[in-house]
Amino acid sequence: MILPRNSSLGTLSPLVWSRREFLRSAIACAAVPSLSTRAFAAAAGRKVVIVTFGGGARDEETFAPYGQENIPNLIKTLLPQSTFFGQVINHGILGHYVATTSIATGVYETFNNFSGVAPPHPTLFEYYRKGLKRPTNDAWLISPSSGFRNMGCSTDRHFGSRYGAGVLLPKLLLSAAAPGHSNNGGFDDLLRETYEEPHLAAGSPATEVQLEQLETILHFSPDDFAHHALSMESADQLSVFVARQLMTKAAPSLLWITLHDIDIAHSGAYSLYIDGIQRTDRLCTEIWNHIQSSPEYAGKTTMFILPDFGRDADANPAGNGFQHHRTGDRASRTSWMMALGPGVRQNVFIERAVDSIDLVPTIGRLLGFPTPFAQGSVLPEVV
Amino acid sequence: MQPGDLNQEMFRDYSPLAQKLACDHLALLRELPLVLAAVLLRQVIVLDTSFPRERATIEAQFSFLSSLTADGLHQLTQGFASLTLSPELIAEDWVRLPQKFEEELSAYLWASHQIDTFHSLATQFVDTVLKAVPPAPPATARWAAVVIGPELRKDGYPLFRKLQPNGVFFTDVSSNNGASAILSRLAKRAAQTPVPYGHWYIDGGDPLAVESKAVSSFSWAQSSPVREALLKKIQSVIDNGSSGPEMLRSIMADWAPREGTRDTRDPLVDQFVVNMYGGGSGTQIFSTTFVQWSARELLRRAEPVSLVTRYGPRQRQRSMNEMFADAAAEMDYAGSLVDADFGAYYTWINLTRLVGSESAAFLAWSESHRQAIAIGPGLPRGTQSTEPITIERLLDIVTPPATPAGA
Repeated sequence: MILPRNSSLGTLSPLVWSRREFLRSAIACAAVPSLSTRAFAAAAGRKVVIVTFGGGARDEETFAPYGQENIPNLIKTLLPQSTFFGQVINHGILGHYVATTSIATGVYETFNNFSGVAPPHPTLFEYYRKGLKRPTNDAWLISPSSGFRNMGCSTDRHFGSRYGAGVLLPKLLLSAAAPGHSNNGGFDDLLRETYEEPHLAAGSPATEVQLEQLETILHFSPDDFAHHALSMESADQLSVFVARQLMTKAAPSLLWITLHDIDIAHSGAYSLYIDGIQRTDRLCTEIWNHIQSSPEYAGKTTMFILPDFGRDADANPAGNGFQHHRTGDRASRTSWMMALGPGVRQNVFIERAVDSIDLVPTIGRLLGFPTPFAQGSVLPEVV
Repeated sequence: MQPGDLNQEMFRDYSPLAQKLACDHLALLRELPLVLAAVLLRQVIVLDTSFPRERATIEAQFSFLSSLTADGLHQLTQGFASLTLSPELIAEDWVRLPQKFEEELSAYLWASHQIDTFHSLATQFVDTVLKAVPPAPPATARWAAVVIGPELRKDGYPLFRKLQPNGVFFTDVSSNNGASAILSRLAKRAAQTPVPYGHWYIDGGDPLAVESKAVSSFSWAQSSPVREALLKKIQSVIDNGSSGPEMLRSIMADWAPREGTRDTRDPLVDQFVVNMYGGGSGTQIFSTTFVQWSARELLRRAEPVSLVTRYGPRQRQRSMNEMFADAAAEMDYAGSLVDADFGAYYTWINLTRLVGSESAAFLAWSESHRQAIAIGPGLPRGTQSTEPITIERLLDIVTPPATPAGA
């Protein structure tokens, strides 16, 4: 914690675009005219895919004028098809696990970000499975960070593990599939843990759970999985590969994919932060394209893409710009969200501020199940 | 424990200057809300390894606060008393271990949704203090130069894009030995205006020679014993598997190298380098981050009148454990250029935060791209020059006159 020093940065003002300006400029890039598809009615078989554009990306490097070059797929392909929320505020703790879990419970959780504990409030997965009486394999969470292993269900005694999501941790799958990887090569980059959590790094012990998930859920032999993994350039790409396989083999109706490559920003290397954003842009589009090409998903899937939060502003003297998300300033709390799919209006820009915990009640309304403990509000623009 | 319970004996473990300052202002500390007392002691406890400018700032802050009437002090600090603290925090040994307290306070304020209130109070407090006791103007107009080393190259990359609106962008800069010319200018400034810890050179690789002992300097290459010792420590903590990320950070922050691993023979500079590795994020693995963060912290703490930073190539990204375990690796020249470009932008931002920034001059230059950006008084903003120019001529344009700012 650094006491902020005096910082009169008036000379920066010509560089600063208002949020409205840059978001309008991004929308202007979307050439497809607005189409209303709201006639789409809630129906059995609807699916929802949530992708967290993580961990932590600023407007400056995404939808601001110079940032748009980093997300060409979002801008050209997904934005024209989406209802875009330009101000999604995270009022909670800006740590990736606790913030992502808060988005999933609809409550700003206050547990220690690094504890890895299950949240006290029911998750979206539990509401979904209990409310719609869905089976175990219909809700899944995929995360590249092993620290997210307990995000699939809460400790609430009325919900809990019997209604929770299956959790796939691709790095652990790979560790299980290719024990001894660090000596015989190829996987270390994929097994990279976050900068903030090196202790969880590569080499986690193989478990029967992971091997069983590989064979019974994903229908991979350990050798096949390891062979495929060799062609992956990052942990997030491995996660999306796993997601595609899961969608093909199990077709869950509720799927949450947390991406995390961007958080390399904590190492202070701006180039790697940008690489992470560009890769995440490609992967989001890859997920959407897979949805459109899959008979199980096409025409009945709503996808939400949102960062868990932003990162500190360059002008904030208490931080070091893109590197961290420690100040709680506007840039670090404000991000965006895209909603795409049947029933969601296309090429629509929502300027009002919404809250990152609004996602759970919105999906509950969309799919038709109650979310009694979620504290956010339904977003009427997408239901 | 509450501040009202403080006594001189509690500062017995403090270093001499810190102990004296705390004891001299004991009556003040007893009157402060706990949060503010602990945060101020966090500044005091490192007073003996602080640079002259920051030491003066801390001392002036205490003198100002001690000079206030009881009502004035209450008015300025009462907001901190409104923050609610847990019994565990109050029971912490915040006098002997104010840094640990501050880390736990930060986590608690986030969890209890009080962090924004704290930031607001802190900003208001600092603004009031700075208004009452403004920092002294620099001894001469400030000058900073960022050199992007010759190996760093990325064809087609829009260099200095963030900086261009603020100065003149030169697209055809020639040089036979530009980095040495810049360092000669640094040495000249140090000779003309001697300021203890006021003239600095940070190198992200092997340092070039500087013809002045009045210039403080350190480098990525020469500090490798410190870095490697810390990396070994980190690796042992990771291998041990018993410490989480918070514990690891605390261990790094508290870490001190064994005798013989320090390199500059100046205790303040040595301690600063240790702080950069122990308290920085990514400074231990990427030389570009080491340079950027060091420049940021130097500008914040030492408030130099002259600063030259030089970026070299950083290692290619590998797994975190691999990077922590082994310093030798393939270099990423294109990525390093992007890092250095943004590092230059951040150095300029940090320069503008200092008193006298309106007269400060700034130069960033890439040897391989033959491009430079010059910002300063008299230089038109948002302009471009395609005329050929030498780095020596550019230095003449950018270097402010060696007279006290505001004189």
